[in-house]
Amino acid sequence: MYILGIETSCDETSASVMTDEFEILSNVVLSQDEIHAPYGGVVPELASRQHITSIGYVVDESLRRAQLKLGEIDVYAVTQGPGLIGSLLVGLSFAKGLAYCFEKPLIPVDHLEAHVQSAFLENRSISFPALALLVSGGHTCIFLLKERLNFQLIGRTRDDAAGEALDKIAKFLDLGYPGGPIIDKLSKEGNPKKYAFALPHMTDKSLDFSFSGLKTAALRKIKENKITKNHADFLDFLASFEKAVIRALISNMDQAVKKFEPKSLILCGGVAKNKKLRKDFGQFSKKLLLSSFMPSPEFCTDNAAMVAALAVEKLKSGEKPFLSLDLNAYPRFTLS
Amino acid sequence: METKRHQQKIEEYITNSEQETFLLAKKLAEDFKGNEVVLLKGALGSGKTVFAKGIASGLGVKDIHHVCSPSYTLINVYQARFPLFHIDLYRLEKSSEISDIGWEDYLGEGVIIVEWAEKIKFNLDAIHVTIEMNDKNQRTIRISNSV
Repeated sequence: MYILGIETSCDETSASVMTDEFEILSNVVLSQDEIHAPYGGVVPELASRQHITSIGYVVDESLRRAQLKLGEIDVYAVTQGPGLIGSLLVGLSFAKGLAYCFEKPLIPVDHLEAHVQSAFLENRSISFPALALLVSGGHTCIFLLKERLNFQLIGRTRDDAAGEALDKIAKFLDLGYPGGPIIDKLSKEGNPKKYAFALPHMTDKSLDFSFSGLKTAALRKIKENKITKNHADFLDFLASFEKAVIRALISNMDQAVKKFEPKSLILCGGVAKNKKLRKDFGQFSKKLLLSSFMPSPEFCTDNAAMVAALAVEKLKSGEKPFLSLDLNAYPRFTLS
Repeated sequence: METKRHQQKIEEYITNSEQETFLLAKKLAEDFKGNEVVLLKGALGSGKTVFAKGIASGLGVKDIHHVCSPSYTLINVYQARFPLFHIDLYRLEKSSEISDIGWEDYLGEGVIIVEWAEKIKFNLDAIHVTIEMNDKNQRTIRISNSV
């Protein structure tokens, strides 16, 4: 059985063909980073227009690499949300069209659940319960997985996402877009202990995150120390800010581990590509004697392989695929 | 909190903490009729999202922790006494892109908050809120009605 997954929730147009044994036959990702770079961020209307231009090519290419024809696809899977509404609609409408034309079922998947599932693409043996830290430009959440598809939100950001805070500081310092990877690259030469940042503190023992305070503290330090790209401590500042964001992420995971006593830990989402976060997350897990799972960088950023994988898992768990053309995209969380 | 009145009917407030900013917004929103447009202006980190959270609270949104920055999703919708449309223009550059997101469809459907409203000129009756950062915690907040 062949599954074609489609993902267009933000600025990546992606299509992937997978077998029902989770073998990835193709995973084509077209990034719009270059298109959005002059603006310092994703421009939604540009994004959806670009998806419209690219989706046909991307789906075609995913089939060519899998050496299949559209008629040979048995099930379609597509990201339903959350994401930019205009972008989601491009993928969703395209997938609906294919499902309707070939009279095949269509499985809608949640973008965040698909990110968590990306950890299973390369590791089938993750033991449960597992805790997953999802970090991206738009989201920062902790999920508890009692089983593979039993997915519960236990912490989320109350203001900015971690990736958003990194991107905004990068934009403020005129570093370009996407800011997170640029900071990741530059900061390795810097001293992360040079500037001290206080950890965000939740007064109600919640597992929620807050990055707006760190962002404001960073802006204050930039002004007070007149930090620019030419400042002698520029790289130290970036390293210190990045470290503060990572510490805030890991500190909440630490609390979550104490509360839920998981058997394994997952790190996923676009910011999971960050080298220092991966290293610190690995060390943190090791200290707790827990196995940690981090997808390869290509599966951290938005991709359709994770969409197809989640659909296969849903099929295997007995969820009936359906031919529904009433599906609507949703821009925000629907998970409770 | 101190209040000064200017001739142009601009009300000026000084808040000394995030909590005071939140409460000022909450109090403002308690009298809302349900079709207000609030245009929020201020630099990165000035407290626009805090102000938006206060408005949400004043409108009766219970879990204000979930009122987040819509910088990525562009529009967040919350249910309260009236629907609340929380819009963020941070990522947009041209006014044509801003009209493309279709925010005008929400006019009259509920309360609209626009963060980074300085990005374009709005020709409509609105409550203008400008937040200025004085120091670490202190903000000067100017609130005026109409265009």
